Amino acid sequence: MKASYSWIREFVDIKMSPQKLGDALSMAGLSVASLEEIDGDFVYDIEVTSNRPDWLSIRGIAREVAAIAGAKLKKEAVRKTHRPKNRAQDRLSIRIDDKKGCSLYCGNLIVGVKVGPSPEWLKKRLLVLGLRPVNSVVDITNYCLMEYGQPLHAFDLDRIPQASLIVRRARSGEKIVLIDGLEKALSPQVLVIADSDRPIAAAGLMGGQATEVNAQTKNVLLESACFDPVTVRHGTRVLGVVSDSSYRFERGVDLVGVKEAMARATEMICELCNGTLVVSKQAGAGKAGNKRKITVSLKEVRDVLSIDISTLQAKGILEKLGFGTRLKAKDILEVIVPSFRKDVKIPEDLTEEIARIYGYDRIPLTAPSIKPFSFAASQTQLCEFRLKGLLAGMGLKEIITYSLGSDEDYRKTSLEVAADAYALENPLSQDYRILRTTVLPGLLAGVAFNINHNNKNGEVFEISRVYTKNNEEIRLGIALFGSRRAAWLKESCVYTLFDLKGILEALLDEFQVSAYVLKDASDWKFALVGTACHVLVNDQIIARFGQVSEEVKRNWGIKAKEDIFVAEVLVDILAASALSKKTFHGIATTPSIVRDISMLVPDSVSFSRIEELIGEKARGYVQRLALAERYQGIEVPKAHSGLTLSIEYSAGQRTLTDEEINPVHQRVLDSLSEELGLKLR
Amino acid sequence: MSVDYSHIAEEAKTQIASCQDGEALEVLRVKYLGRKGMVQDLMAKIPALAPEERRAFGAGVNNLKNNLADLFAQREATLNNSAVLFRGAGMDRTLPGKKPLLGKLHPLTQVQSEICEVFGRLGFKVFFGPELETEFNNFEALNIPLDHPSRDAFDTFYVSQPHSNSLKTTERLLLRSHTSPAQIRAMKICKPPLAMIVPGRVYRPDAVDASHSFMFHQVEGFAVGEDIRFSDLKGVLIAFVQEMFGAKTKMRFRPSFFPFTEPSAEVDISCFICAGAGCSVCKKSGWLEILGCGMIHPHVLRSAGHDPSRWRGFAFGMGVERIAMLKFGINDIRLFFENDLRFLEQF
Repeated sequence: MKASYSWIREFVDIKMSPQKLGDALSMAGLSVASLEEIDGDFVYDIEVTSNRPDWLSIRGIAREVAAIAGAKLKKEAVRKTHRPKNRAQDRLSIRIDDKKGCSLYCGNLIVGVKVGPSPEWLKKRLLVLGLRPVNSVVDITNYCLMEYGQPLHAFDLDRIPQASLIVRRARSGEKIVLIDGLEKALSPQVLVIADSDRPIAAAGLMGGQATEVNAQTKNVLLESACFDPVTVRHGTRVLGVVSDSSYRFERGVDLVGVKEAMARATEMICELCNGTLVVSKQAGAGKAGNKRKITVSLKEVRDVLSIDISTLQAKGILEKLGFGTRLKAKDILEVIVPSFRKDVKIPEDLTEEIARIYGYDRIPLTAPSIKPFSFAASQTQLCEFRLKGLLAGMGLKEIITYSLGSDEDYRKTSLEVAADAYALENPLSQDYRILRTTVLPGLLAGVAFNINHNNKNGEVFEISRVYTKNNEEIRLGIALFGSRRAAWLKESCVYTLFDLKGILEALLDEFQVSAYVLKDASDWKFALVGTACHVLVNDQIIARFGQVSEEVKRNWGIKAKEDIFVAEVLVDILAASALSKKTFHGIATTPSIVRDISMLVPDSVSFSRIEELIGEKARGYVQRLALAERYQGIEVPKAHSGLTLSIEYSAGQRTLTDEEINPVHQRVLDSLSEELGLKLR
Repeated sequence: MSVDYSHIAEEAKTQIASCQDGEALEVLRVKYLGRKGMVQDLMAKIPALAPEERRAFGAGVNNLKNNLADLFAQREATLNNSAVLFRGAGMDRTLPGKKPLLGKLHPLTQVQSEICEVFGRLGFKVFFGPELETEFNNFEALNIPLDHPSRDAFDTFYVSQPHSNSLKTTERLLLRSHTSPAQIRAMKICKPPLAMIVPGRVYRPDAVDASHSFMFHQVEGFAVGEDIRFSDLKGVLIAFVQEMFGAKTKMRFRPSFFPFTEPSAEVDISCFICAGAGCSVCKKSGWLEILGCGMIHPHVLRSAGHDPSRWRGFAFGMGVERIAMLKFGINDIRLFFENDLRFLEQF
């Protein structure tokens, strides 16, 4: 809403400078976005909140200024009230068919009008506010719209057969060309003003071109009405039309203002355009109903604001804002709400009114007494925080990607869009339509962005929600690509699948999840053949990992040769499987015995098989089993690898002797060569 | 008579910089600053000058002397370090250390955590609500009626229901357009008195540009008790802004409108970039708008099943991206979601 300093001052006598007034308006809730000097006047651009349609008018703003400045509000704008001549030859009939859509419709018939350019002062008033002058009649309706916040419309009466108007819903198939020249197809959702056979205006939105006032117009039908906010709102949606009028109707106009603005515009047309008011008609009850009364306890107001405002002061503020007040008992005020303040419904609304004008800046700072209460965050949430800290500690960078994706994202990642995926009904574009069921596409998008911007090496993770039929789950995605930043003197740090697996193992260790098993996941199309794996706990998938296939890389436009390794962890399952309790197991006081085994292992025997066998043969003794070295090369036959294992044996609190462990270790060696056929070195 | 000595400074600077050992440096020092050095020569010329020139000339020469002394001292320190201590015996300790690789939390996570920690110290507990919300919790429960212009500020993504879903609701689902529906959920789970902070993602169908994103983050906070006051809200928020933006930060409350609070306020802080002098970031106003707040509307308390005649509360909400952009001087919201490592590594 734009308002000029000079226009405001027409209604309230203030001495404040334009700058000062702007600050004061902002601090009272009329947020001034800009103050511009235009043509010797000062124009405020005020952001009016949707609860205050009364501020969409100069008079409404002036009322506020009077309250802020403690100045007197000049009420009268209309100097001469014109009464209709009611000549026999003049006819006007108005009928409202949709009483819900229109509660009051006033029509004034003004004849003998001379339409021309407006006087300079009027043009200037409109121009500084950014409104384009059209002709005197149209300018007057705009002038009154700004002054009262009440939209008005002028029809060329001679283009309305029999001067008969009907306010009704449009019929399917009806069309109208609006003043802006665009033809719109109407539907029964749109309220229209119609003559005996066709719509001539979209009610509250815009008039029609056919009945527009122009330089030839002699007789004018002036409309001032109250249209239903919801109906107008639907109309703006259906027709795609938003106007200064619809903006105000949507927020609700003041029934009293309907007649005031009509009187003012009539006066101006009669005086400036030489018109004569001949008929004044009204349809609809247009009764504002009983004024709302709210009882407010000033004790409560003082208490919630921590201010010591007197009853007189509080009454004074409310009255300046247009409220009626009556002291019912000590500190109990009955407040009568004026018709233009439909937003005020409860005592709290009045607390705000008092606080606003008293000054928010005068309210003291106090500390709340927050009493102890018990509430515990869920395990998953705690898990999420811990994971973030752990992963950042391991050198990974956290990324945040969009929760919304496209069918194309899934196709590129060789994943199916889950049948139970949620999707938007009103997406901005097809690129962001599906609520994700996995973090993998987002992760790949992040990796692709980096690799394609010459960040060929990196390690990233994201923890965020996915949306499945079980509602919202938290997922962790990890991606390693290229190589780890090399410190000097360090040999190759090219990422491998085992760097990724190592991170997962470290996390599982940290959350004390020990009973997990690996399962081949060759069906996972996303991954390079032979690299995919599921990690299961109690037969539930807790994580999956693998190397991104060349095809998926290509699909995401990644041309670099660097390998990408990706894992996805189901954080809810991790949280549920984690042991939250940590227990001290003592520190072994007896020495352990370490034995190394070197062996030649064919590719057909997995490490886990060897691990299992050793565990079984040396049950009760193996404290730690570590892979010390794995090598392949010239001295190792094809499809084989050389492994060196380091086994740490202990007997708990007993001292373990060579005599005791030797036969056990021999059993291990024998079984490795006999049961698995491994060649020991 | 005037004496030009500007070449001396330049010449000395080059010579000092190219000097490779302590002895040569000492020779230079004598040449310039010694008792019979060039600076002393200049001083000796003062008596011959016109009286009005003497003062300025003396000051100039003195300045030159001090500058040269500094240059000699700096060069000496450099020569000592590299040559004597590190190039001689022992290890070259100027070789780079082997830095362990440090990860980074996303700047939004950092800011969000900081906000939650500050409120945590003030007694607030962290609560999470779902992003997939019911229309009721997102709107009606928060006093935002259907078909009301106040909904315009909350354009919303609606979500179609898949055939089977465990929510078992016939209600329309949407992606929450703000974190405020968490108020309803929190107050249903936890009876007042309570004080909660709710961080999370929110969604609005805004076309993406430098300052808009259809996905962003908010932190919502609220406290409900029998005697919570509007002045407490001011007290809590001043504590927050001063911890977050510095102890000298000033704060102001401006009346505003939110359907779910009454009275409502918009909170500005003094611009920490220009310290209130007026800059492009604060649009020359000296103030930065950072959050909205107010006393919880009785309708909201009722929606959550609490009697507004007994309980009162305050609530506030802020955008994490906005605060991160202000704090770190980031000018494009898209940077947060592109995940360029060269961006992420700067925080």
